[in-house]
Amino acid sequence: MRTTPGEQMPLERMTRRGVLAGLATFVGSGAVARLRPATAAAADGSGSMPGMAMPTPGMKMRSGLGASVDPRVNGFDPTHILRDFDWGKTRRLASGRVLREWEIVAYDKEIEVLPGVRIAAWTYNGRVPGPTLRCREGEALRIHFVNAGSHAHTLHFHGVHRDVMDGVAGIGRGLIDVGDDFVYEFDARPFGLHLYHCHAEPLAEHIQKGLYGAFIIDPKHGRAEADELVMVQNAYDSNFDGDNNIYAVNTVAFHFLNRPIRVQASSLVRIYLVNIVELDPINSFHVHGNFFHRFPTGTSLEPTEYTDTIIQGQAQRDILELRFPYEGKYMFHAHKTEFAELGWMGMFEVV
Amino acid sequence: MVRGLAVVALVCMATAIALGIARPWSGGAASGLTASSSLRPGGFLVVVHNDSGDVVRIAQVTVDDSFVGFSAKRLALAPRGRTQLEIDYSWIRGEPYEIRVLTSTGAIVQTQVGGAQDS
Repeated sequence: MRTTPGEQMPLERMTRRGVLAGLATFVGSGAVARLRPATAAAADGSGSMPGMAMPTPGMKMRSGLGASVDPRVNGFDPTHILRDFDWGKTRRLASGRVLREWEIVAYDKEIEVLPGVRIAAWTYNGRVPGPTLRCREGEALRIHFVNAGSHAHTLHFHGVHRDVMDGVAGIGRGLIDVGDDFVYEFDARPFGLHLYHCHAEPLAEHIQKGLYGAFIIDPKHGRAEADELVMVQNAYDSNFDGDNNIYAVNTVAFHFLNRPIRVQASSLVRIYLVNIVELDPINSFHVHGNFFHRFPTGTSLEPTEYTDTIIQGQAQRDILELRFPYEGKYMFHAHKTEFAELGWMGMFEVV
Repeated sequence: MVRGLAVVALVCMATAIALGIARPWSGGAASGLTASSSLRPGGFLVVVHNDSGDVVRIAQVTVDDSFVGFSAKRLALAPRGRTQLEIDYSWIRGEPYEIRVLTSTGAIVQTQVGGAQDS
């Protein structure tokens, strides 16, 4: 696959051959130099920082507005993640049912979550959040999981399934050791917006380091055509003091403030909103200049609320639908304002 | 099939670790860093000392849980080096402020300014 500046190879879609080729590409690129440890930086303050202008003496450093992380450093782009749905591979079984399959590899990776600030993440297929797995109600699902990380991990899906496929320690295969693999199999039900994540202990650490992703089961007859956006709210405790100090949507703080989400006026916009923030009991979503219909967990086709602000607990999900009547720029952010000013704010650009 | 994928992935990880891409990482407390702060008209001055044996790179600054812009003559501090950060901020007399300086590894050194002692 050819990559160009500003674009990255979508690791989440790689096949096993692609995993090797992709990492080889990454290793062979300038990313190696950009990922050198801070201790190798020039002592006089010179040298480039990923996603940041070249620091020069006396320069003004800006946080939030104007400062961005270069997506090539992480190998994934929060903007790309918005509309990146992994439908896996399908084939029809003798029974007539559709079997849908994915391959998920867990491995460690350093990522930049705020200009100049890098953390040691644990990833599914090299990105945080992991790939957005999407299927249709009633399909047979099969997920081939490989643990290439440094700790035992699992895949735990929210949904209806047998206990041995639940991805928790001590039941069925339980923890998948380093270098081992397992195939999770279950049916796609119920339709809605769900979640998958690692369920190894300590749970908060395995989740917060990046082992999670959105899991969408479409209703049998689908939903109305829309511009669909996946927003996974996440956060980081970079100094391990038990408090988050960096917040984001799709991992990089302030990303959508610097790169607004472009949508069409009057067109239906559907947001798949997931809250996977650990350590804080609640999170929230607020949009400026508009209201939206709320479909809690997406398990009903009828909205329960028409509002401009919602609260989500840990692992809570909502599908939000709205149309922007006017062109312009409209902010969205957590209305827990501390989170907003620590990274969780962005902008829609309506054209 | 999947076993093969595991082998490939592990080889990739070993390669990545060897090249420093996915190495074990140390963030956390900014051991060896100290900071002091003072009020100035329209903002704060923060002096950061690096008493550790490693080069430390300053990445971001927050004031009371909000990322803020700042200016500095240098961001990379050599061992025993120091730097001064200038922060524009509309502070209020008598109110305390907590300033946190984040390094490139996510480690934090913090300092307080304002409050009754500066009134």
